[in-house]
Amino acid sequence: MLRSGQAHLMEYILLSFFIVMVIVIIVFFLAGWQIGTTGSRKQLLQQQRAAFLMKSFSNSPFLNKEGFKEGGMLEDSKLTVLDCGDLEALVGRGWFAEVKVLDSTAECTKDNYPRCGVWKFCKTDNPEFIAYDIPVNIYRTVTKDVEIGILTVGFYE
Amino acid sequence: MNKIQGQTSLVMIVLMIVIFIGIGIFLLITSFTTEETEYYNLYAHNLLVSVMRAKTGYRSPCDTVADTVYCAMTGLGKQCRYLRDDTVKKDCGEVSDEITPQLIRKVLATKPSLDYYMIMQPEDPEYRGGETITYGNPDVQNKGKTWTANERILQYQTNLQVTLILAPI
Repeated sequence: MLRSGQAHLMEYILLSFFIVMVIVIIVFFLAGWQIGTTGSRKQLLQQQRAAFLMKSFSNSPFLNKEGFKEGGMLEDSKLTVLDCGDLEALVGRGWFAEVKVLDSTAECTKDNYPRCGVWKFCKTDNPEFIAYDIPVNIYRTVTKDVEIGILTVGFYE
Repeated sequence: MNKIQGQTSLVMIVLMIVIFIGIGIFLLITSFTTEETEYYNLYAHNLLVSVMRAKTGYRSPCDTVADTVYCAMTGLGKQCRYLRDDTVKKDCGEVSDEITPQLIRKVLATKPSLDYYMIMQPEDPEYRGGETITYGNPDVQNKGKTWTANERILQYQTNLQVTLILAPI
């Protein structure tokens, strides 16, 4: 009788032990999950923000050649006259953009246009930033040529 | 009887643990893939559109890459003159084979972790026997994780369906 009681007791102790283990595992799992999702949520929000900026920039009628709405056909003359202040008024602060024609290194100013292929907007020396890039077309107003470039949009952390 | 009850409880506990771990892994995988997919889909689409609109450096009918591909598929034997030197003439197919992969490779040089495969075919499967033009690495199609962009080249005789598939190397 006593042995049977002891066996019962052992069984309950074992069961309680496993239940406690399961609760501990669940707590650890939920904590880990929370930490993981917070990190990925941050990354997701950053990507959504970057995607929004990229789409706004590449589809903006202020920068695109007339008649092209999808995919980005940035006009070089519009890019050259544009400055950071104009863009900040459009999409806010804390970000930067760069448009670079493939194989080009000369940064565009009003003096060297159109013999240039890099446009930089709102770039600072802050080394902490997150950036994404997509291919776009660049329309050369003078030669009526269409080239491929890379639009990089990022924001400072 | 009690022994069976104890075993059943143990099995239930183990099952619960397995289910929790399974749900966790599933949620983690789906959350990561959705984020990546959105950006790379945009990238693939922009790459395809940019390449198709780019000028080739040749005269009509090879003005843009899209024109050249269309000419290569429909205009048998048509030739294009080089803009900077009128004496240089090449077949549309030759220009397409030279310019299209070169432009894609140039853009993807900024993303060395990506590989590509491009397929161009007439929308009408009976047009010229449904002949296709392809560039890049065909193995990309069989990779697990891919991002695909589709575009149509609208032309008089037949529209072309252009597909660009990107995948990590």
